[in-house]
Amino acid sequence: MSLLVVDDLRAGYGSLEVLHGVSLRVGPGEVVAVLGPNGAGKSTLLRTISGLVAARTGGVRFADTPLAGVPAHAIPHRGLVHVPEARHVFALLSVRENLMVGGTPLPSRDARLAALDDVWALFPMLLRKADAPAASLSGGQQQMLAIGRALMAGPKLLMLDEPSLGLAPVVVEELYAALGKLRQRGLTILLVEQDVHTALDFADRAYVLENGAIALAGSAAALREDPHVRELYLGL
Amino acid sequence: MTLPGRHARRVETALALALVWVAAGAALLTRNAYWISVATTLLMWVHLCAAWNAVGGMVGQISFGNAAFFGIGAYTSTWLGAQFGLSPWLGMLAGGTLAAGAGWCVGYLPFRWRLSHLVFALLTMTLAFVLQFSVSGIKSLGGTAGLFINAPTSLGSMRFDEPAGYLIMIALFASLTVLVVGLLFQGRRGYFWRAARDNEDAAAAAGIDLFRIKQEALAFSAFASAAAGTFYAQQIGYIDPHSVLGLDIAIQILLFAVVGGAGTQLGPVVGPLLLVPLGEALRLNLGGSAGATMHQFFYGAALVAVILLWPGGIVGGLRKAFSARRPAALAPTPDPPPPRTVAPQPVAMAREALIEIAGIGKRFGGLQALHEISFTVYRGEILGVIGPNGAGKTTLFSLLAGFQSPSAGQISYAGQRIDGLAPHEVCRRGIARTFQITQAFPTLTVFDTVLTAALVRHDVAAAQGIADAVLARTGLWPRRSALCADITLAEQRRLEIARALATEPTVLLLDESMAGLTARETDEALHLLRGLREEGLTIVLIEHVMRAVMSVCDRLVVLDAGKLIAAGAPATVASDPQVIRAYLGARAERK
Amino acid sequence: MTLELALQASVSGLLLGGIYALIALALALVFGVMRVLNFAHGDLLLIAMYGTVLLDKMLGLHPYAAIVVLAPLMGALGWAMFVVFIRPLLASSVLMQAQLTIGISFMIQSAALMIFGADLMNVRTTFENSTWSVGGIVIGVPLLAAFAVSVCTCAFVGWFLARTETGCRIRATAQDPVMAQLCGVAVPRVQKLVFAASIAVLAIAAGSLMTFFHVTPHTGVQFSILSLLIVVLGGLGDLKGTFVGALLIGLAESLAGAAFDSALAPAVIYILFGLALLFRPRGLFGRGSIA
Repeated sequence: MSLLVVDDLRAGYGSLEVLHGVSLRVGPGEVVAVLGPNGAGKSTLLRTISGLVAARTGGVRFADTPLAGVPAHAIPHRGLVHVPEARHVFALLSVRENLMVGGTPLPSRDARLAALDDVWALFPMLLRKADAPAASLSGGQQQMLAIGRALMAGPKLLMLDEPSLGLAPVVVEELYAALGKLRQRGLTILLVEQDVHTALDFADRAYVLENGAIALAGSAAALREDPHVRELYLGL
Repeated sequence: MTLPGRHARRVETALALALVWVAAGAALLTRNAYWISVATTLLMWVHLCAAWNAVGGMVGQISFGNAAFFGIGAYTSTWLGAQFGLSPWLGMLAGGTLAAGAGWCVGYLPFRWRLSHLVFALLTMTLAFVLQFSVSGIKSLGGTAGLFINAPTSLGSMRFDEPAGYLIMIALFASLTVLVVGLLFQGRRGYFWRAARDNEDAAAAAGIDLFRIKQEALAFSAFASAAAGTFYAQQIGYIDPHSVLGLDIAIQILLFAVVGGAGTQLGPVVGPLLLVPLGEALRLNLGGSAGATMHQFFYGAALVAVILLWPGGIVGGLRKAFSARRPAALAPTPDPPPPRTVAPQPVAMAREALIEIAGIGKRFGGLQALHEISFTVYRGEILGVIGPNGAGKTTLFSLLAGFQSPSAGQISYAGQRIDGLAPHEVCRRGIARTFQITQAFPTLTVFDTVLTAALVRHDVAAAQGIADAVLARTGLWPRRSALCADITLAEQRRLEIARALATEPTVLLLDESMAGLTARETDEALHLLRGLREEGLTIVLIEHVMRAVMSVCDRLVVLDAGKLIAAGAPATVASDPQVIRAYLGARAERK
Repeated sequence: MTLELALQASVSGLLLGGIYALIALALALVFGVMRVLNFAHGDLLLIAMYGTVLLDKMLGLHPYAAIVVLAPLMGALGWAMFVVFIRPLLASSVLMQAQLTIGISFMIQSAALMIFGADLMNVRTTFENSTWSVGGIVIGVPLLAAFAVSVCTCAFVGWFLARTETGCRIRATAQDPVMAQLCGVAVPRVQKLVFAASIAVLAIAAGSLMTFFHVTPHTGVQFSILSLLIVVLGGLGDLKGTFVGALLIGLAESLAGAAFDSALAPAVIYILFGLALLFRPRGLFGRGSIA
């Protein structure tokens, strides 16, 4: 039984249609990657699922309830949290305050404080900088903060948009190690990545998006060997 | 040969003039001093609104302070008349010139530095306030007590015994303003104004000198407003800071023009024509203190209603209603003009370097967007700039086209440095760019968009020829009467290229023109590009659609995280391990 | 201008500046959270000021007591205004919003003129003439009390934003409304609340002002322009900058009034404003959004 079902989704901005009928599913506990060249619509896909972009036709179902018409701010309350591209930490708020805002969907301050302890345990370097303004963190730390903030809401499904963008390889490894721990806890992850091979090493299954439609799909192992992937990215 | 749409614009000018004289004539016929004076006031507002409209509506630079110019006119002519006995007609010219100068000063920095429209609006308001309070404090200008005008009645002193005299005079003034704005609007300026109002970046990229056209419009607006100030002084016989420089006046000008329809020729006439009599009627029927202020309440409500419900004002709203009812009448399309024959360029044996980019760097605050970029663009080639997200490709284009200046390094074109030049200057040298976001000028038709770009360097007749040829060349001729907002995505992309071609460039910078196109549309676009190259054009393109890039580019340049990591033929670049790593990640290159 | 006069003017200027600060803070907060520049802000203050006068005339309420009645009423007015006029224009340009709120300003001004007439009105209170002398400087007690009330309210607002969870969410919304939504913050409701609260705060400023000031229908526009000036000078959206900017404007206004002919004095303020617009678009501390 899938946790997330995207069914023939069409969406775009103004007169530009970016997604031309995309369908995918994510099962509970799975890690699914969405890959594809720039401009393929990967970010638009996540933004449509999280309610920032209105779907034109087709639908999204999460935990068996349709998300049509649900405003973006209500979606994290249902357990679906989106960490957008470029992190978007609240620059002038402290690390702690960033995390507390992430805990908005939780019912009480105590619940938020408990969730905060979890995040400190997962990302100890954030605890060291708890009262520093988020803008003073390095790129990698900000990415950890963005993920920690998303975790505060206690999500069932976490959507990550290009978490490795702009990060040094060693930081990317740390990041994926942390994601690995989350996966062990049973968190379901939908991952959009630019770094194809790191993504395929980490994911269970993957979809490849091209020009707003699914061009390839399969298990990560199969796609790793598939020459079409390289062709798609480099046009040869 | 008349331009499409020009007829409609001429009709609108004529209609506006007719309304002015109908109003004047109707009032004169009543032979009633009260109605004549109402009409006089009404037409003075029409004059002021038409003057405001030139800069606030048509060019899109809203002014909150046109009362400043009105007041300068009133005070200059009055003071010169009192001190030197100067005829108010000459005083009017002096006041107008002074006001135009003040306008030029107010606009200088905001237009030079491309500050936001809000800043300009607030600065005009500041000017009005500073003048109002300064004049209040200067005794020789009457201070808060004001100045009286005591000249005898005569044409030379712009004073009449009969109220009808004032009415006819202001009708003439208003007609002149409406006519001048109308003539400018029908001609080249009108196209530049509309382009600037719709999209300043695209207008600059098409070669339009925004600074100059804005300053011209502002100077005209100031001059005309000042002339009305002189008229007002002579008519009323008394001026004081509040009545000629006050914020209320400036806001009311804006209000009438916006309710009527800012940016249209009829708007400044329709606004006062509707609101002033209604205000008067309220005053008459209600009487007492309610009557004296109810009209202000009503004006405020009209402005609020228009902005919420009918943006574009009454005239704009009516226009939309009419065009929605009648489906866009397809003008019978004559056969397309013969394609422009271009003498085939001899294939250059030696490669000529056209653009030299040397050591370019760009910082935004703490972020180094580009670092030590150097490469050459050769004449007649199609060069692709590729790279992952955030690599700095669009920043590079901004630098090339003049929208940003590099923090380090130089860019030379045909041997001359172009870094630091304004976008319209870069365009005039021969480098034209397109934008990622299409629909450059939403309220213009396809034809007008291309024509505007051609008008920068040519007169109307020649520009029309160029526009026809470019439209035929890009396959947009059948769609030339459609609004930019109504055409398909592929057509929008071609229109961007057409707009760039109309500036007769040597180099074309294309920013992601294939994104979102179907396979067939992509093929058509590539066909167009190959054809353009055969005609001698040099093309640099940013692109993500790799199949397109690989098939049409002669050479590639790859950026990653602000650095140039590879350059060369497509096949070479695609097998370059650094490039593979940039796109696919660290482990891909080991394969 | 003697030193004594300068000192006297400075003190009264700073005290008045504290009250300006509260008024401008409300405007700055609205801009910060929803990027709306309300040109009718002073006219809304006007409504509260006339409300204070009415409550005095009809119920004999002291202005400070009137605040308790007026604050919720103003809050409700703010709520209604947001829903009818502001929300439809959230996506429009600042200048469209400016024109709309200018229209509203016209309506409020003329309504006030029709209902209350052009004469100035004020509230008589027992302490209105008492003064306090400190080393040769005379300070009006009502002014001092109003300053204290205003500054305390500003401090409360600052505390609320910095130390409560709701305040934290409001600050997050101001910095990045889209990201705040993705964190589950109900941004549309936050915007409505902040707007309503900022109008409710005007009741406090109005009550304070009416203990020593007067009101005419034209007062609204004066305060609209003044708060606009302060907010731009302080840096659009920068609350601390707005506070400091208000004190500076109060000071400058008072000193200019003492140094120059009172009709000329305001020109000085506007010249400063013009220079700030051109050369320091990010405001005093460089932290504001560019105008």
